[in-house]
Amino acid sequence: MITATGDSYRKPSATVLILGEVNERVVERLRDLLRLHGAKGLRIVVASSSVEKNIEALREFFLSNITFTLEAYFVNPVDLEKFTFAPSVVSVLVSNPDYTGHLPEDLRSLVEVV
Amino acid sequence: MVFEVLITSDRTMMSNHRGKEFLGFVATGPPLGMPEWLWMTLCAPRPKVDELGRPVEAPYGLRKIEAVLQNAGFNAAVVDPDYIHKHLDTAKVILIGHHDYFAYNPPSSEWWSITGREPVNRRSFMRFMNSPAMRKAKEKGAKIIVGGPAAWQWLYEPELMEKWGVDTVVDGEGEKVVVELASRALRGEPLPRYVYVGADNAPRVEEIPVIKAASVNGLVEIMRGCPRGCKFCSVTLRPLRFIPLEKILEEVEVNVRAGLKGIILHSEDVLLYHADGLKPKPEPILKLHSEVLSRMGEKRHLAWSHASLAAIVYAEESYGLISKLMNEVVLNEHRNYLGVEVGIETGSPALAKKIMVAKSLPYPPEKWPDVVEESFKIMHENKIIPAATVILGIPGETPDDVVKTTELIERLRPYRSIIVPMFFVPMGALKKNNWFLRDHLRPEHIEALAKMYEHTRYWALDILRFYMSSPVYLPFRLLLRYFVWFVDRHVKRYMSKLEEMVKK
Repeated sequence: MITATGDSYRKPSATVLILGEVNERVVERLRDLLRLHGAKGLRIVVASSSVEKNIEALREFFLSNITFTLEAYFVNPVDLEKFTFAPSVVSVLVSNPDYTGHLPEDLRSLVEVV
Repeated sequence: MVFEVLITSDRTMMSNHRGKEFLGFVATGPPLGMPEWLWMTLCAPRPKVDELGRPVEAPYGLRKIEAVLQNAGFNAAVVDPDYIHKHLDTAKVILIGHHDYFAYNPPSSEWWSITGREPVNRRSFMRFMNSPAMRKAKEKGAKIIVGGPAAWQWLYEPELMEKWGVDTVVDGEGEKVVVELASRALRGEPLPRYVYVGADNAPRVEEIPVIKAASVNGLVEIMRGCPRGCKFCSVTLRPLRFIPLEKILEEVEVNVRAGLKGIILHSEDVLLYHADGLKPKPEPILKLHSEVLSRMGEKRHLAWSHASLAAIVYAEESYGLISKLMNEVVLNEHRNYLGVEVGIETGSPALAKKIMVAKSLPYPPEKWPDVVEESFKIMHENKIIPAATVILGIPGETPDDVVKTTELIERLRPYRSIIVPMFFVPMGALKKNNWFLRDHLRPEHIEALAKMYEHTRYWALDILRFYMSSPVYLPFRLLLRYFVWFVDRHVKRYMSKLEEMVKK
């Protein structure tokens, strides 16, 4: 019987959604967003078909963060609808506009093509 | 009894290293001069376990995770890697911790780099992850969550993450986040692939649990974090917390009840326990040791995991604390030495200023070589035997810095100690920099490596007499003597090869 629900862990309360491959410009924007929202804890959701490549692309970003709580998810674009993000999404970085079709309607105003 | 959450590691971690912590470091090297099975028998024998595979002693970090999960109501236990198969029907989450999953940390990385051969800790971990029990667990849907001080290494192995089905990598202090992740895993919710635990999620002292069963060689944490701020170190990124004496004593008693033969006080700097900033205070140190030793009895041995050289000098110069502590409190007819790891890192004041400006405090970094020598003298006179590290290839290092390091090592010759080279690995505030590898060696590095080997070789057999004095250790003393002989025969060849490489 589990009595704890993990309440004492402070979950990240800002989300950045990335549609497509992580490239240098995405990482650059992530650094800005981490500076802005890092104190709230940052959840990064990468919607792309390649997990391994994206982990490699984000490695330096992850390793350079020594302060803020970060959670990173890697999902298939078609599974995006299963996630409930709003209102915590602070930015949607799009490197592959083909994937915007999977984006919930209410997040389209946050799209930033990089 | 069945467990839903298993906490485990590979054999090089899940071992008491024959009661000799230093033998654990042997697992960071490739098997030299003997077959791998004999190497592993020497340094990483199987621990005693109960019928469910729960080891009598387990790595301290795993014990903390076990305690926090059990306190939160999870059906969780540390289980030996050879007994995972017993829990396949019930295990829904497997938590794995390690100090050096892929041998990218020092000293594994430089043994690998120098010899060109894969260290046994990496091989052992690979075997564990490829084992039928782990494959079966994954097939049955168990979630695999990895963490510990080497968690960052997984970011360099995304293919293996995929191959082995690692669901989450946790980098940072685990006490709070592990409860959240285990809950999510059991509820079938999505898990993050990577979590960095920020300072806001570091546990407060009162949230750090007391371990419920013995830790490897009686390790007991007395402090967490370090105030010195060295740029190459990840521990310094954590907030500083002193563990209350009552909790320390509870953990000592857990280990004593389990029949362990010694206690290791763990901190990045034992003498800074309840210190005045970076200045050790005698009262808390004497009280800590008196209370711990009173619970250990006369015959158990005591060690410190780490101490800083500046704190040793300050404590002795200001209060005569080291001699008082050793002669009046620690040493007796059964305890004739105290082992500790210390960091020299460089002999160059200029480099010290750049990368570890507070390491020499309260003395100025310009005095660093003198602080190092003085501390070695104090330790030698008081039967403290240090295993010291020197980092080669720190970003910004010049040939002159390396020469100064070599000169300092020569000055340390009269003092009983071993000195181990570490090739720079990007961690802490320097973690964006590049690894230092064999290809980056310069003639000055070869000279420094040779001096460190000569120093350690000079003291090795003398230290073995202290370290393994009991007749029980005779076979291992002989095996280690053979190893020293083997290395003696081959070291010149290795050095010549390195010199040739440098010339090219």
